[in-house]
Amino acid sequence: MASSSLVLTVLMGVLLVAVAASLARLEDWRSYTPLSDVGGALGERTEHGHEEKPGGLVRWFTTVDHKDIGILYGVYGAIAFVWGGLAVLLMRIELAAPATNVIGPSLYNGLMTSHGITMLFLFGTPMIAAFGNYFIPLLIGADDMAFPRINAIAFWLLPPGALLVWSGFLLPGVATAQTSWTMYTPLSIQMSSPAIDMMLLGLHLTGVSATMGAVNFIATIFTERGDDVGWPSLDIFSWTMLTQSGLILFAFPLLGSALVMLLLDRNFGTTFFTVAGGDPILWQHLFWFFGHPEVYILVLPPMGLVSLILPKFSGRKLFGFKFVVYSTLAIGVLSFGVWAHHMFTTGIDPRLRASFMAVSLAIAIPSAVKVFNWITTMWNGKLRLTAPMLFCIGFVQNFIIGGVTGIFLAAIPVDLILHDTYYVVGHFHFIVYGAIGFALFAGTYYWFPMVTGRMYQKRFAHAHFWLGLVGSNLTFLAMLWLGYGGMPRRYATYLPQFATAHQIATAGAFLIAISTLLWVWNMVVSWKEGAKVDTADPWDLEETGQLTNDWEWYEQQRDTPVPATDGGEPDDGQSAD
Amino acid sequence: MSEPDTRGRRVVLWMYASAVAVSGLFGYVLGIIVYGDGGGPAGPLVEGSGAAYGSVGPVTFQLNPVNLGLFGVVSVGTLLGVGLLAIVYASERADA
Repeated sequence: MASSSLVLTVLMGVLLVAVAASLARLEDWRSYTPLSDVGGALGERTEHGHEEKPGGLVRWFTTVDHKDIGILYGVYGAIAFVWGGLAVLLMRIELAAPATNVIGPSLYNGLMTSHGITMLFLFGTPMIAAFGNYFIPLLIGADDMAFPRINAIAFWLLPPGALLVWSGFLLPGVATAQTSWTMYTPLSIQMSSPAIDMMLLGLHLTGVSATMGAVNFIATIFTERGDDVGWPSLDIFSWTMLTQSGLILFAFPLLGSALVMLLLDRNFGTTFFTVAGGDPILWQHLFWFFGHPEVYILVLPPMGLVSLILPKFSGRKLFGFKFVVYSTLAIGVLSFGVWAHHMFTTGIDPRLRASFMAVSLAIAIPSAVKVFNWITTMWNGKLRLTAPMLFCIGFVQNFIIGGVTGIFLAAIPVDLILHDTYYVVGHFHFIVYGAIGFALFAGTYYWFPMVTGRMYQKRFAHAHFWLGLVGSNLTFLAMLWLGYGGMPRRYATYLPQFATAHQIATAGAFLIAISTLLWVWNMVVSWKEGAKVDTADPWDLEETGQLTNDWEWYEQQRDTPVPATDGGEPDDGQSAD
Repeated sequence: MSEPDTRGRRVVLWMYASAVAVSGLFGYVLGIIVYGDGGGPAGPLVEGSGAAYGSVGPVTFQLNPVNLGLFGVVSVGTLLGVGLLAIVYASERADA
């Protein structure tokens, strides 16, 4: 056993060296990195490189261009979204009837764990990074991210992270991780499957990736802004990405530490979180000190997307811009003072509970300020109900439901009754899919013409919106009913009286799945065959004085003959089109 | 992509109306699921044999589908209505 492990390790090492060597031979990557002009780490400029991006797959494996990395993040996020979506569809099929019919409880628990972790860590955070990478440098007038290579490393940590997180499904004979995304101790210590260890390592990789990305965004926004982009004129999406990156910087390293402690408890006999000698509640404190800011890490940039896109189709500037920025910063600060509202039923000191209830209720205020400003922007506006705008309106509607149901959970007496019921699941799904998902969809439609040079198919996009809106409300309202009825979460079976509401939720989930298929189809087919955009301002933003730097960059790209490369010199007679 | 202009007020009022309508529907279905059709002990979670009652301040009402639907319409209508009035007021002041 030990010798075979040794052989495997050596083989893996040889493989990695071979990959590195072949990449180095295939391409002189230093020649097309932005740092090549100053010679990179070796202090000298290579002489034999060419100043174009390589073709084919090698381009994508070696790129350090922020736009390419943005697309890589986007494709990765979409694949993860499909995985997480298929997992939950299987779960919803099982939940269409009370007894165990299609999948057993073990597989159900594995799928549930995978769904949660995939959607939060492998879809949500990377998808936001996709928008950040592609558009932040364009919006702030930067040439690229501050650290292009760190940017590439941050992305390339994610695929092995995903493989590790999903290892229980990919390796035959290994039981899936069934801890749920919260990985509560002592269960997560006592379950013996190596898939849990691999999942913890995979999560650690994604955390390192997110932290590297956050450092990069902070450095970029602080130091790489164009001459005409001062703090007062910084766009709202960059403000939210900056705040989010600050949150990541404080939250994710703590998650990493807690994960290592859990790994030590599982494999090396330490007792940080054990019942005998340690404290399982300590895990919950550490996890939620990361976990609640994570909610805002996921929601702040989508709020920024809505704040950026919604005024564009309302024909007027964002109402109360300053207050939207202030509320972003306020949410960022307050988000670190609410974690124990996830732990009201654990028996923690009631005085502590009261203080966390107060801060949790207080965080509703900056959130409401944002809603107020979005709707006020729309009130006197002339709206153009394009697909991105529809998704922004859907965001606001779903965010109100998700937010208001959350306020009730912040109140200790209500939480004591509804804790661990489907009410909680319904509440946070209104936020994570109904709001965050919708904002990300809005972003994909809004920038589709810029990224692809083509227009998406309007009919599919609108069908995507309406099916997604009806599907999400059916699914998550049914979950709120189930919660009021006392249905506990995380079970593969249930009592017969809950059948109707579960069936409604399953029907809604299928509507969401169909709507997502339309999105994927639209993105792929329109990218290949969609009508070419014939203007650099496809949304007519100039009319209302809202042409931002990203669209000006796009106009320049279309008008100026440039080679398709970073670091290259303009080449006569070659157009970007 | 050319889209016809729609007045923002119209869309916001539609959002308000649909939120209030969904609240009413939500309350009605909640009444059926939790308390049963007639508000009697027919629902899956009713405790005891008599009808259940709730109160908001001085107003006491039986917990049945119709009353819970009404509660949803009135409470959400009022809360969002106050917010909407604030938006109208702020818009008039700011855009005057």
